[in-house]
Amino acid sequence: MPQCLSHEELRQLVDGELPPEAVHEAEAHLINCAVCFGQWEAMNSEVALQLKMMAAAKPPSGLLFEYHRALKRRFPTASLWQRLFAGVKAANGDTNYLNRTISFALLFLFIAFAATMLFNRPGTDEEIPIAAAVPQSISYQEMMSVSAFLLENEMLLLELSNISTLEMAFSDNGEFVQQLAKELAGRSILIQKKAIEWNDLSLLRLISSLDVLLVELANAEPEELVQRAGFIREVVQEMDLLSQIRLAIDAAAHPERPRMSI
Amino acid sequence: MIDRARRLVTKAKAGDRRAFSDLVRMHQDRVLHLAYDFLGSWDEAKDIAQDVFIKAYQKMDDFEGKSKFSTWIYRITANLCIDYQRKKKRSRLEPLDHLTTSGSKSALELSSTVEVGHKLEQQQLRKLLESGLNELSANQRAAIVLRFFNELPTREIAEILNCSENTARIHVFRGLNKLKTKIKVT
Repeated sequence: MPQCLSHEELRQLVDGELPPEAVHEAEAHLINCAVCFGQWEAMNSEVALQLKMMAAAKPPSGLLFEYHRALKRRFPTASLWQRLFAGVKAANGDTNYLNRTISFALLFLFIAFAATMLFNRPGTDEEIPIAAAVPQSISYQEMMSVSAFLLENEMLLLELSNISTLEMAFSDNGEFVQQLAKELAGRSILIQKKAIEWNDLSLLRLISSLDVLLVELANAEPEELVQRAGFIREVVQEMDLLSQIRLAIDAAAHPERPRMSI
Repeated sequence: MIDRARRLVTKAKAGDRRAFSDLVRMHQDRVLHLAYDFLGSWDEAKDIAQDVFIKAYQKMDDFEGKSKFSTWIYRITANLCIDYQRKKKRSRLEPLDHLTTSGSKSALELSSTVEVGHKLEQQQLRKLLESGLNELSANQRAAIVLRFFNELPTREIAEILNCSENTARIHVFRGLNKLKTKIKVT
């Protein structure tokens, strides 16, 4: 291999100042020498930087949602029940299955605990006149705006559910989760009030179980969120609560919709 | 992450469809972005990205595990995108969605504007690069996209484009030079 190019030769090549007879030789060397090529690339930093900045494009959230949904339909992942059932194989000594089983058992325990806490809360008890707890009627438009907000964030959460733990640790996704959880927790109060106003037990149950998660997420430290990334993913993927809540709200707006009485 | 991918690949090769689905979840966003970088349109990228996973599923037996699964899947993405571009036989790609500003002037018009602030200059440079990228050959664009958008080393670019490292460097070299020329001329 011919001798490497000097810094000055590289600069001249980049700036187009190298004599024509030397250009061909320099280019031939550049193609064959990773070191000189790297230096040449670095000297083209303006173009390279702009190119890197261009890479920050984000797809429209609607398109991302459609894309994820299409892939999920074509390549479905195992449901929570299937995964839990698969955990039986742990008895054969497969440690991966064992780890999974423990994770899912913990997840179930958490959900069971959250449900217990939820239905023992004052305000959802049957003895207490729930309607009296509603301070004012919520307009249809308000609920539709909540529904639109949920749709928007459903896509974000779906996106979030695909973020790996590692990615979450090295980006600002932790803060994103917190912000999102706070926003959603605020909206969930509106939905709870509406569910009570509508006497809709199923909607109330849905939003309340999500509320438990949201409050926990909103109050967690970013470092904790990193550790809980897997848990968040599972809950978002498996429970699919936001979709159900949104659909329940949309359906509730229909006058003929049969409702479960509280 | 890599170990997990390896485990999933082993299972997927053994016919575990769920494991393949997990691999899809792991790579779906990167593949979509890569396809977008190649094609410059989110709608086209979405369709191609789905085809990538279908093809990968069909060809799973062909994956020998010599390279990373991600490299293999990017290679399928690159091939499908390049084929797609060739089939369309278009001389110019559509503008990159995120760079298109509604009602904005053309790059040339912008360059003649006297009161151009720093932000506008950046925007102008981006637009120039965008049109420059559209004028590159499929391989040059692919190499530039992989090198600068995805920050992959030359070795991996060569693997994805199925060429030697020297050829990959040539693509980057020629591509970058064309982009520079484009900026200087305008």
